Amino acid sequence: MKILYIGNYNDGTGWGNAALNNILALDSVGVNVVPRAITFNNSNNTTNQRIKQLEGQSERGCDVCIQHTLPSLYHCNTSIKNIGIFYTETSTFSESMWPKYINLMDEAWVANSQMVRASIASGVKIPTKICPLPIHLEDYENVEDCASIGEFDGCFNFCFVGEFVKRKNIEALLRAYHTEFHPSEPVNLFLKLSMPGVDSDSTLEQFDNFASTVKAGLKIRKKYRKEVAIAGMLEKKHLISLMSKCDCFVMPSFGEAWCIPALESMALGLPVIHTQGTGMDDFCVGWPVQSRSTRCYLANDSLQDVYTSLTSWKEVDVESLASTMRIAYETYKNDKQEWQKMQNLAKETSQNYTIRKIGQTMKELLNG
Amino acid sequence: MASRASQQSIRSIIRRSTLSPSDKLNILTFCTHERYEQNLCRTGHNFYSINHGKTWNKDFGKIPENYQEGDVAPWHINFDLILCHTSCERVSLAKQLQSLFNIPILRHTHVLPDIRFDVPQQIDGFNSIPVEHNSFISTYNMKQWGNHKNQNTSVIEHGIDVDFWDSGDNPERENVLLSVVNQWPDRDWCCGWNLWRETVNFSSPSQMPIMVLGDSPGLSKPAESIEALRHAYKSSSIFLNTSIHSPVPTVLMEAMASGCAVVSTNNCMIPEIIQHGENGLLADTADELRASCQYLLDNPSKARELGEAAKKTMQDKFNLQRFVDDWNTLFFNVIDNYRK
Repeated sequence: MKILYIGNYNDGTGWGNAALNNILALDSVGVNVVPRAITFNNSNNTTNQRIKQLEGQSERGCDVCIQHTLPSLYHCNTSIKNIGIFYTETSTFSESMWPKYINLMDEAWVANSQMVRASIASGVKIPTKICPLPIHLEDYENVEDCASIGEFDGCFNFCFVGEFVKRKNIEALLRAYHTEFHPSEPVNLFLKLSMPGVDSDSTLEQFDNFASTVKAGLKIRKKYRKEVAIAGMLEKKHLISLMSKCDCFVMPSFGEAWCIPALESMALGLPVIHTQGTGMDDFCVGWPVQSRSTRCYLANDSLQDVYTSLTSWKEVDVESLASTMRIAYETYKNDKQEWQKMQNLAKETSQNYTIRKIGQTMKELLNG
Repeated sequence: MASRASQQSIRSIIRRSTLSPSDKLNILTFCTHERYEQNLCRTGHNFYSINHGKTWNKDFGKIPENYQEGDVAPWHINFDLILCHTSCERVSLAKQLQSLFNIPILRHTHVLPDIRFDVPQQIDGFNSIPVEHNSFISTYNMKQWGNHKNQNTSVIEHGIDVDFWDSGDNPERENVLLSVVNQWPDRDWCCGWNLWRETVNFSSPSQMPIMVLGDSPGLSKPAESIEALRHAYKSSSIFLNTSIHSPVPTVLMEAMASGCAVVSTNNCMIPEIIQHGENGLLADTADELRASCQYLLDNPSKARELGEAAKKTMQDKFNLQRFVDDWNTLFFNVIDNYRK
């Protein structure tokens, strides 16, 4: 079987890296895969020699074409099998054109069970299968101590890695953290932020203004503990080093198709606090936090025709998030055995998502 | 290298994966040489020409059924290739289209560097715009542009529809020197207007018997039709070519295919086609050209013999089937080797 894989794997984004890892996953289990790159940001970040080798093959004679892109770009060729890989984080997308485009394909692959439900609810008629996202687990073993932040020392550190966009609901995280923890407690909130098309200084400036507004709105203290925020591109080994010095990953977002940083954190032994009802339910070890369905609102920094108020996503309950963060901290502090158990379980679970294991899953999906 | 995410670029990738040698290709091009492109259309592929600086001049030939002109690229077509005939300006436009369609560019070069201007600068300019494949009409051309044959550079020599040029009526050949050139006086630097005048003793009492066709106001008019042009080739005993800086005039090859004896300047690609004394006569100066013309005017049987040999050269080496086969091979090779 020869697979033509079209995706934005050179873009250097989370979405692009998912495509990159999928290609390597297929290759790792002996599937003949021919990658072809498209770009949404005119990047050409691929330095992966194996990808370059695979690109050198002719696409002639492929049996299957996997299109890892926006459904609105899907193209069906009736002489081969067409598989569309897409991700979304809302309960439905029926008001968009996506279902029509997806139904042009022979099969759809999505990252989690919530997306399967969303697809069915949106009128997707083709078989929709779950294909989780892999990570290079070896990158998270024997982590090099090559980056540090002074504030981390002697503290319990919550970690957030993601884009500074509405969907991530950073407001809920700030409210929960500052409400629950007194500045005198040795508990930090570390945020590694990025904003598409915005430089690191501007990102941090915008975040500081945002955090100040949130804290002012709380009206419970004169002075709050400062968040430990960094922004911009960071070498992967440096980010892993910093994440390894944290204790618990928190992702309060309205919706997550998968959340690679959460899986990476688990590989480092960090339990995860996440919004219940999102795609993260499928793999996260830690604490799902109660949430409620709410109309998707003000998602101006996400896809315009999909993330609208005609659909809904999950809003984390801030009270529950705060108390869950407290539980995590208290468990760490007072029940070392339980904490260790959670760390081990997180690590163990992450083993299910190696490049090779997901490659095997993909191979089975292809053969099925 | 990644192409811009668009439906067109994805369609192109998928189409390449399922393309078979029997498929008709969809080729984006720009009108350049009507007669040459008529022959190219014999490949049977679909050509979509974007009007950019030049449109098809129907005086030079009918638009083939598989050749479509338009002001913009038709978006609904899954293109396979962009074919640029020479012009750098068009290559720049082709580059923009490539970023959208994600298809290879094939630049086919007919001309030589213009000797009236800075030649090294033209060569640098030519080579500064990388394309997936460069092809040339002759080895001579290729070398003049500082290129050599490799995986991404090739030569496709002309093809002549010998069946057409040899068909029709068979009039008695008149002892006359036929020349076919457009805008001749204005293009002395390449077409050898003054050399021709000197050769035939133009406008003097000793002027040789001449016949001139081509759009040169005050001198000559083009043949009324391609059939009329064929009749002219077939009813003249000698075709005189005085080009100075042209790889190989197509009319010279058409005349050869019509069985007309040729007397020509000995430059550029011409000696690759004509062997002096075997299938034509070559000369370097006006005196030598005149002497060769006179020799054939005085020896009609030799003229017929050279004319037949010229026709055989066209049949054997420059026939249309070889031309079509070469182009088909090149088209599919360029598409096959595109890895983006």
